[in-house]
Amino acid sequence: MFNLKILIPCLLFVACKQAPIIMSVKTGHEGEGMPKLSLLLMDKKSYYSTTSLPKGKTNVVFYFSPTCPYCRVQMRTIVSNMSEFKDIQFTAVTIANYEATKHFYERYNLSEFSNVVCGIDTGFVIPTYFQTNIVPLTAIYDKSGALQQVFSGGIGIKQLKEVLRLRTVLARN
Amino acid sequence: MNLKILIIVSLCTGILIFLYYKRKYLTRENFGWLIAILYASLMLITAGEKFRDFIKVREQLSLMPLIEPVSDLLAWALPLTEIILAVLVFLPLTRKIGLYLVTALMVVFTGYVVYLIKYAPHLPCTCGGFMEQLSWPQHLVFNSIFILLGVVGLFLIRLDSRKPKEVDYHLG
Repeated sequence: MFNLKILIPCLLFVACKQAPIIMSVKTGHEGEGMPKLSLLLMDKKSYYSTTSLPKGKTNVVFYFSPTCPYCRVQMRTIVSNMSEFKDIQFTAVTIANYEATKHFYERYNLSEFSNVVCGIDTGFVIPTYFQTNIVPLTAIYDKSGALQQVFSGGIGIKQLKEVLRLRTVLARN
Repeated sequence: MNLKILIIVSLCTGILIFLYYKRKYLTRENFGWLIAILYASLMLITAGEKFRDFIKVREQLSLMPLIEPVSDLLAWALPLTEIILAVLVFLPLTRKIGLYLVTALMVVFTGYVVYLIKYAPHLPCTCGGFMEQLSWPQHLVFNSIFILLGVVGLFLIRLDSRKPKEVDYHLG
């Protein structure tokens, strides 16, 4: 019994931890439409233009690096909660090389989701447009196609759900 | 950095003063318990943190060299093994085998740390808890201390099991 008394305080060192809530950053592009992007798709041949994205849908631009653990965490949380994000269009954008992006694409089975477009921003449009090198970057465009919020750094699933839910409600009103 | 050293030095001094006044508790058995509790806490804390931040650990492991192909399996297996080892080390009955296994695991970890220092020093670690704050060389020192503790613990167990031979005088 005496030994248990010692062990229990030791166990208390295991502190509670939650994904931190991060504030959105001001980019100066709020209210604007999405910049024109040509994304090199994973078949290494075709390009996808963001002008052909479906209209009237909330669009999340997820700027990532395939070798960044926080981007991977965010992609994993999005993919594993995809049933709740069916009405949302995800555009996963990177400036990394083809092999690394392909590996990332296959790891999260992104080809299985019709609402996810993953491609390489060969023109470095996103980092230039938002003037950032920070990954992951999550930009949220509402149903009318206007930029609402940009989050710099890993964003937890709870916060993402909250933000997207709020956007949907606002767009309905 | 200076504050860290100050805290460590004052803690060590405090422990030494405490031990000086409580000399009677400095027995072999208590030292064995101390090692067992230290190891069990270390294993439980790291396993708990790994489970708490499971997605992060899984994705970080998938970026580590050498273990990348089995990273998804390891993300589950590692904390589970740590919990089992914590129980094995803590129970007096299974302490010997537990200490053998846990020291072996620590040696494997340390070998991997050495590999990382040599080939991929820029990668972060996935230990969980306060251990994540340690740099790779600090990790090496931390692990070495624990390996040393494990070896000392095994040595103490061996000393305990060596009982004096019983002499049967009736046969003589």
